[in-house]
Amino acid sequence: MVTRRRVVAGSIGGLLLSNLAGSWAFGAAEAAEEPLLALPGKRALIKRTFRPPNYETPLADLRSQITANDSFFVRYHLASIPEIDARTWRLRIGGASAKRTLELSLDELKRDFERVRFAAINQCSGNRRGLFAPRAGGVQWTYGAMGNALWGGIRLRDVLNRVGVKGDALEVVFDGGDGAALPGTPDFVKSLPVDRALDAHTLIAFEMNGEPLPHWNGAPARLVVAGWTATYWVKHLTSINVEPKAFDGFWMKTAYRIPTGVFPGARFASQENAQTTPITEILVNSLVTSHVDGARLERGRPAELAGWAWDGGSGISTVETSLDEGRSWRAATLGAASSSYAWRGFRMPLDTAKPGPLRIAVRATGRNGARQPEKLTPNPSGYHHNMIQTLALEVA
Amino acid sequence: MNTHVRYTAALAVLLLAGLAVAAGEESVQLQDAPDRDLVVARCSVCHSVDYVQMNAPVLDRAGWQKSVRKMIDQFGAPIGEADANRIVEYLATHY
Repeated sequence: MVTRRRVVAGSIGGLLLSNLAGSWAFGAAEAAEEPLLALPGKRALIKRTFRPPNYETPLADLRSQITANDSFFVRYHLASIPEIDARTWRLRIGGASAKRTLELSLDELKRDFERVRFAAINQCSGNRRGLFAPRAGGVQWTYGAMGNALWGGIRLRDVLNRVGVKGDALEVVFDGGDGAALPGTPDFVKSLPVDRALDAHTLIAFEMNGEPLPHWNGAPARLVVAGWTATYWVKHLTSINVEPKAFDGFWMKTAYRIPTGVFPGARFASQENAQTTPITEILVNSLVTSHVDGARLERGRPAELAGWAWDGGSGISTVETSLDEGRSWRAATLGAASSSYAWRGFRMPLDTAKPGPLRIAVRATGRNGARQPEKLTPNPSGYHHNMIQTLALEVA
Repeated sequence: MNTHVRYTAALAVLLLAGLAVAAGEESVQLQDAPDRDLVVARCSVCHSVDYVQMNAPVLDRAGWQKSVRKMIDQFGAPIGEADANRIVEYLATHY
């Protein structure tokens, strides 16, 4: 087992920005040692749980524009994960609101439909859950339950149009090959509103960064719902059903829900009630990858802060940094965006002329006007952590 | 039996029951205390017990109670009232 010391960005208390204007809290805390372990075919990742396997990408592997397949995070709810033979695998498409039923092989999917490829963020709804205060139960992810990859496949809508979508269609329901140890455990089945299923950026993907999908990321085919959190990106797809009613499985009706009317983002009307609604779009966010909280900079040596910013698909318009606890902000230099669903790089030179503390806050704003908040919005499951990141560096 | 032998025996029962245990999982050691083997035997049917360690800083007694009820009521774990109480007691006391 490989282990390493890791400095979490502030104690949980230190991460919280105070309600009092101008009194932002900074501070570093030493977290427990976390094991770096490799699943077959993967590099060593931060092991959260062995079974079902939940492995997080270390910050060091999030520094490249495209997150490598072998360091991409792994997330499962159920422990029975099939090794699927792509030659005998079939995808069934039908449902009560489909005009016909089709069963397609991987070769047919590749051959009979237009191929598309674009970069998009795949981010777990609970990314950064481990940084929530008050704390939230569940997989205690820090920053790496996400990545940016080039997804290759076909548009779901082209396949749905092949089976024919009836006028009464409300949701499209997706099942994958993974299953539970016990018959009483709800299978991992997700649904999308029919308009999102028909969106041009919702794919049946079979390639990731130009390679066949890795086993742990959903081989041979998975859903890509660009702009929406990864809970909808069903792996090891086996069936797609167009239905006239709201799907009522556990993973829609009970799990992956947030308080109604509290967060921005697309509404999922057929699944909403007065108290809770499904999580949908990724909120605007950013991540510093060049430095960790508590890092020391050599006096007089040129240094640059760098990282990524992303949102649910409107695209990033600005990334700003503050050196005075949020009183003033200065625009960072933005890199090119390969797709509005991908992350966008930012860079900011750091002044290392004077010794002493350097307190940095970073905030991103999307083209839709949404900006990272100063405070977290508590919610029972610890979703949508997109609070402004703060780092306390030291020039010495 | 010493601690490790008993723990290994508990996992061996799972393997005999035809359950796939993930590579490396046997390295997870819960606190040696009464009912540890019951917790390992019951919880490991569906998941590795590093879930217990991971959620230890998050869950208090009420949280463990809720978590165990969720496994029974929503995830279909076939655990009776008496065993559920012993599991909650172990978790609340040692994690």
